[in-house]
Amino acid sequence: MILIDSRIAAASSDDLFEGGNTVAGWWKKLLRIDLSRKTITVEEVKDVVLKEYLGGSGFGAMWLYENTRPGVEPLSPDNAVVLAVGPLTGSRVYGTSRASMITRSPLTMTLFDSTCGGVFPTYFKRCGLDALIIQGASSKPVYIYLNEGCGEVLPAGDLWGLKTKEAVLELRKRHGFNCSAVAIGPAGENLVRMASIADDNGHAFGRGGVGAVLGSKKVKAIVASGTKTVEEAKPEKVDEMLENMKVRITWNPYLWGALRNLGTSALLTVINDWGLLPVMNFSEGFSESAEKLAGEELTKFVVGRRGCYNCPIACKRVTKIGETKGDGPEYESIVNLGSMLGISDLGDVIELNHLCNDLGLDTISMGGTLACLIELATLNKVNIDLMWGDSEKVKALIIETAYRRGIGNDVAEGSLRLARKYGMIEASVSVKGLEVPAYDPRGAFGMALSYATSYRGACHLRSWTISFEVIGTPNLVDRFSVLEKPALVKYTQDLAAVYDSLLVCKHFAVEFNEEPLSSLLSAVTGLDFSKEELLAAGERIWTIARLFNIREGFTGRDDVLPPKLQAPLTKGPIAGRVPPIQDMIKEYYSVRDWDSQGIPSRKLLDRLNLRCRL
Amino acid sequence: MIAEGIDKEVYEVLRGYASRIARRGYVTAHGGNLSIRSGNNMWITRHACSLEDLRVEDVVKVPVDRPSSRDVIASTETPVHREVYKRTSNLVVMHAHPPYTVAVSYFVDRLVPPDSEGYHVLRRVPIIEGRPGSAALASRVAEALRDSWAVVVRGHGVFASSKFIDHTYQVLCMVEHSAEIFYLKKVYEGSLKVKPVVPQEF
Ligand code: SF4
Repeated sequence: MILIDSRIAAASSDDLFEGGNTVAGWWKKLLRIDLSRKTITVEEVKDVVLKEYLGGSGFGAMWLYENTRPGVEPLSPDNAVVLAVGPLTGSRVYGTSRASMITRSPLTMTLFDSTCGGVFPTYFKRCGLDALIIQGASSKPVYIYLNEGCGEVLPAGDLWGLKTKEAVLELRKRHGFNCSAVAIGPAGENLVRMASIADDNGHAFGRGGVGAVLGSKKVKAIVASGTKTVEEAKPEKVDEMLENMKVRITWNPYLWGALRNLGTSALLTVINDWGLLPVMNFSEGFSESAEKLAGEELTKFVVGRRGCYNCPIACKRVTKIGETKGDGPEYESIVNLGSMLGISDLGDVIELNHLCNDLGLDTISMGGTLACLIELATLNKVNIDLMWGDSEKVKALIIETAYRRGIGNDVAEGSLRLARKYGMIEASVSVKGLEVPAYDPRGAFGMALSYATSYRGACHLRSWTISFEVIGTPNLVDRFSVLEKPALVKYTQDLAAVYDSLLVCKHFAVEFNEEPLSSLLSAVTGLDFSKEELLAAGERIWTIARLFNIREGFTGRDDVLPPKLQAPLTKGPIAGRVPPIQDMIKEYYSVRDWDSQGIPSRKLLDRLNLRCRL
Repeated sequence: MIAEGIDKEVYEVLRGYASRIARRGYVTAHGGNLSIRSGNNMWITRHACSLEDLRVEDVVKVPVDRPSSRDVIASTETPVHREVYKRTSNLVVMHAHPPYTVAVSYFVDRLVPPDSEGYHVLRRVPIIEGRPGSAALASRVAEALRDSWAVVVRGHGVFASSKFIDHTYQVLCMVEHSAEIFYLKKVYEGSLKVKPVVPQEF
């Protein structure tokens, strides 16, 4: 059954997919699918929007702010999902095969953008689209098929119930292997609030429950198989910049040394040395047995290495445990499914990670919520037999969560709702409902501020000050200093917004700041972008995300650290340290030109050309 | 924390020499690095630290025979130190950017110290080329240090290495001193317009 008559899509393609007024880097086209109304339309994206919001997360934030009604329920048909690529996606620039999925999150209730690498984003861009918007909901399972000149909604009854990888492989069989797909697993189908959307190679739109939003719309998967060439306005300039990029990538010890040699797991030893390793729901910051989870140990399980399309670093690891092969785990997953749960057997962690990938679950929130559950259980707040380090029970709980069975139904709600239900809210180590990732902010005060102020909740990807506070690339900043942190966090947040809108892998941010990015963008699009304009776009994107959250009732009171992270640890390298979060937030608001309640000033909105969008 | 487990003496020694190198003006704010080998490991200064004021967190222990996850914060020149320890029996490596040596490296292919002390200790200092942090440079530096106490990387700086930390420091200072004399000799030669008198005995 084809819900939407394919002739409608075909007609659209003739009219709008082809030709038109494109700019190198952007097609200036979006495809809007309304599953309730059963319509597909192709719309033009205005130049000014692309210049001001760039694409990806920026475009999605703007679109959702303007096109969803206040109070929209994340899992209702009224919510929309924007899938967007950036102007560099599909070009020859390294690390740009990325896409962003933006929606209102069922986990945090905030605006949420989740990005994903792999090859899917390039196939999507080659369809001749900058964005896909999915609205409404289907009554039956469907998937979306895209290629150049065609957007179809096709039945997915036979795919419903399949795990992510199974569904993707089936779809690639169906549509030929010259395509890529991302799919939800059972967790997304069952509206688990931490459900992800994944491809068949371990790349996922991981956080914030974007998989549940697709599940609520009964969309099992999105397949892209475009072949259009992405034009570059100044190919010689791009050549020159690629040479320069190559040199800088191979010169950077983090990118070419650590990431290439060991993947993100290279971080674990140093993070533990410095006392930042979350152990048993943040009750400790250092583990004697961390070596067992370290990058060197992971190499014993590694059977292959791969990367996103057109990335020379290839930081991903293929691992094998028993007879099962899978992707990852990344550093975050090792910590959240390992030390956070008191598990120090890396083989077990790998198995749990593969399981989460297959079921379509975000490993960070899954681990964080299970850590919360174990703490509740050990304090007899919840009546289940569960101890730290019991990987067999954890495995069973992950499955129960994906299918919302038994206590898994509570876990599926995320740690904040779980802890609230069992009367001990402080057991949830989260900000705005998003579980804190794998860096204890008591040992890196920039991370404390970055967790507290991120629009999507505790997130390491919206301002990874670890690169300054621990790694020392591009600069080393004292991790316990307070003075420089508000400005540093604002700068890194704005830059992260640029990265997520141009859609460049954020690992590259340790070497490439706004300056090379603006040159790359100018070379690809042929339009002049100064570094100041680019950072202003980042600030605009950050601010519109803030406006969205304010519209949904968030205030400065939500910019907090969870109670546990405001109390000092009693042992380990960071014993006694507590970030002065209130002081930093006050200064941060002032640096951002927000008032004492965290509301952007009128002057700022004028400067960013945002008043017109209010 | 990284300070834990570090032999206090190793840290103190590194801190002392790091500060002496910085005080001599051989490095800028965050330049330079030094290491001490201990068995199959080396203690090396971290990436982006300031030799002027080395903190315990600025010293990291990494294996000599292979890259490790602690390389993520170790000096960008760690591959060079590693290669030197693999190919020589030296136990210390120091790297700095002393200005006269860097300047002289643009004009000659090896530095033959014009001063007697430098000449007797160093004989000649090879000058090589290579991109900082690259495997090729690591290999060239290590090869040169098999026959020499020091090697200059053109336009970049000096690597000095030996079995003893004080000797290595002495070599480093000597290279810069010789380069300074070389430069001054040339300046006087040019401005006085006379041929220098070459000592009969060195
Ligand atoms: S560094 Fe890793 S995550 Fe980033 S683009 Fe390359 S392979 Fe993908």
